[in-house]
Amino acid sequence: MKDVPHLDPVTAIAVVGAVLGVGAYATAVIRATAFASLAGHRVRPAPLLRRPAAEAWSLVTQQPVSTERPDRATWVLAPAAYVGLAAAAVSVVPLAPGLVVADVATGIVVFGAAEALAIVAIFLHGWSPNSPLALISAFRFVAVALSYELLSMFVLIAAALPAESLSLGAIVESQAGLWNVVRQPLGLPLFLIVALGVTSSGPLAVVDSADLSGGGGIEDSGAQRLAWAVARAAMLVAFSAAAAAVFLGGWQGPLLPGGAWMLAKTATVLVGLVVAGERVARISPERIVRLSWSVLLPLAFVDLVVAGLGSL
Amino acid sequence: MAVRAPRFPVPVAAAIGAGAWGPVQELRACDELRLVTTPRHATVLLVAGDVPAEHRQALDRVHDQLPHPRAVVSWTAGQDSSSVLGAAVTGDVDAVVTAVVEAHRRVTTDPSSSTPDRRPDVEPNEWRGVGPFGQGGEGMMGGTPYGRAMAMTGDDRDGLALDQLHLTLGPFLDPLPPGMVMDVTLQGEVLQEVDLRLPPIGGAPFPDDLGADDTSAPARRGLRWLAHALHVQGLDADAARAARLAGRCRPGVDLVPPFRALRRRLRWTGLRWSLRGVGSIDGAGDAAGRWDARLDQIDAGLAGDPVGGALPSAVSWGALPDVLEGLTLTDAVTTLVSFDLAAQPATHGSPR
Repeated sequence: MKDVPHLDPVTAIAVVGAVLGVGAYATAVIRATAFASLAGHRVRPAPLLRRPAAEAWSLVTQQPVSTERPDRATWVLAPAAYVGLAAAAVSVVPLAPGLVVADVATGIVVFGAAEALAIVAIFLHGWSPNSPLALISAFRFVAVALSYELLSMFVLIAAALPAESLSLGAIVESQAGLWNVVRQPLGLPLFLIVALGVTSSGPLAVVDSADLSGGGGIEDSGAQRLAWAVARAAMLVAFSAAAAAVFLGGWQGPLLPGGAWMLAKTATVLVGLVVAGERVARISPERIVRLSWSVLLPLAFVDLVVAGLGSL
Repeated sequence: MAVRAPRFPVPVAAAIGAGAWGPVQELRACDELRLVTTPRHATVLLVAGDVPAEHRQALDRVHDQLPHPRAVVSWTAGQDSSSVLGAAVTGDVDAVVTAVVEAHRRVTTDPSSSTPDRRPDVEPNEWRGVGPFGQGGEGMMGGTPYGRAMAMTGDDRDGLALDQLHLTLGPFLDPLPPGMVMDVTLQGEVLQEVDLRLPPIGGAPFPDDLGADDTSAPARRGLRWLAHALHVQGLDADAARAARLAGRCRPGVDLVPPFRALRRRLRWTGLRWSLRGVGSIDGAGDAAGRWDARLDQIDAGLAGDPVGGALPSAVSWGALPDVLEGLTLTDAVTTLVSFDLAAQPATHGSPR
């Protein structure tokens, strides 16, 4: 068996931690900035840059309130599992030429598995506090998630076809002449819909939504709430990086070094996802399921057919 | 503003009493604070308006759910401050923002000033020890351990047996009109039974200038409704814009262009599509239709040409359970919001 090229564990943990940590902070800044500008508030960069740190500190020093007979272990473990899955997902994404934490041959399978297991983490988060509205958010997320998570596997497989490999590194290299966003135009939008779903934002906000008065996070306070917010942001970063690698040519681009291209593309996708999250109205879970099965899934099949014909 | 801007928007949970629902919605325009959907996310509890006696215990429970350090600000109309929690403030939105920011700053710099629990930390009901597992019911299901009903299977709308979840929603649940209490039975997310126990708290709006002779009053009420409704549909940034328009709404101020700009913005949010076909009622259309009617009404009001006729909120209180039963919880909330019960409590009929 061929050796899988990988970083040594200490560097690997440092790289993944840095990507997710910096990414999550950046996500919070982008969100605050996007909200201020969309709401018509004055956008002052310096306070907005410091705001997430101040808010995080206030949460750390706040009392974590408990509920009546919660499932304490899973309440603590759910955000840990969620952020762990984001770490697993980002570890297979090439960040720069030659820099990928785990260049496994089955990269998109690892990514898809992380995304599918996120359902478990999100369900447990809603289940744990023993609180009705949180529980409802949990089971309705499970009901909805299957319908759109299938999309992700189809569009990722479509991207793997021209590369003739399931490795994300090979997929990036296969886009040297033409990015997948042009070759398979349906892929990126469908993948971004999955990203909004897995992080429960914008139109697909079924977990922490206002109709359930906060839903899955309704009982979270203090560090517990901070942990969940960080985990969600980390997952959004993992999806943005994967979208940049799979559909936007990853680190490829003229003049600038590869890492800079990857950073710019990831940041662009991240801003797009955050703005979409603030700018698109919530859709009811029932309608999401109907839309996914009757419109989005057929589109994913079309994407796969286009990719297949293109690779003949 | 007298106080320094906070380093992040102060998370505020609002418990709303008589007449205060509308004014509280205007707080959505403020950069200094953020109305949160649950007391667990807040550092300041804003008790706005007089909370009737039947809701005092619920108010105490909401208070105790705020994590330490926490503070309370009461926004009152000014006449009676004997039953008020925390620091009382009278006046307009700016005065409230100043008081909230100040309360947040005080309690975060001196956590020992955090308000103590108002209810004892005990089980709300005793363990009764009925049946083989102690909770009553059958086997490990059903029963009412500690006074709360546990899930038990029942026939659902498709003739299958599915767990039933019994819940009480309200009186201080963010998406619902303040004071409204509903006992519901859910199977999955579908409301199988709805019992309305208490109607929304009425009362004359305060602190305000929405007198009968104020020609801008209908439009301002409409904009306050819009701010809350947009928030519930997940569009908080647009809610802030609507709230700002509500705050600027005065006779002689021309808000027609900014309001129309806001309506154009809403076209790109998919809002109308998400409302279409939800909560259809004979003679009252669906949620999208009621929103349109409401937005047209605001537009006409701002243009100084208030249209007459019934508000789209004209559903009789007694008919509500029939409207809500069979809907998913999400659609029930969307339907309730489209009726604007908070600003215009529909008082015909009585809770059944």
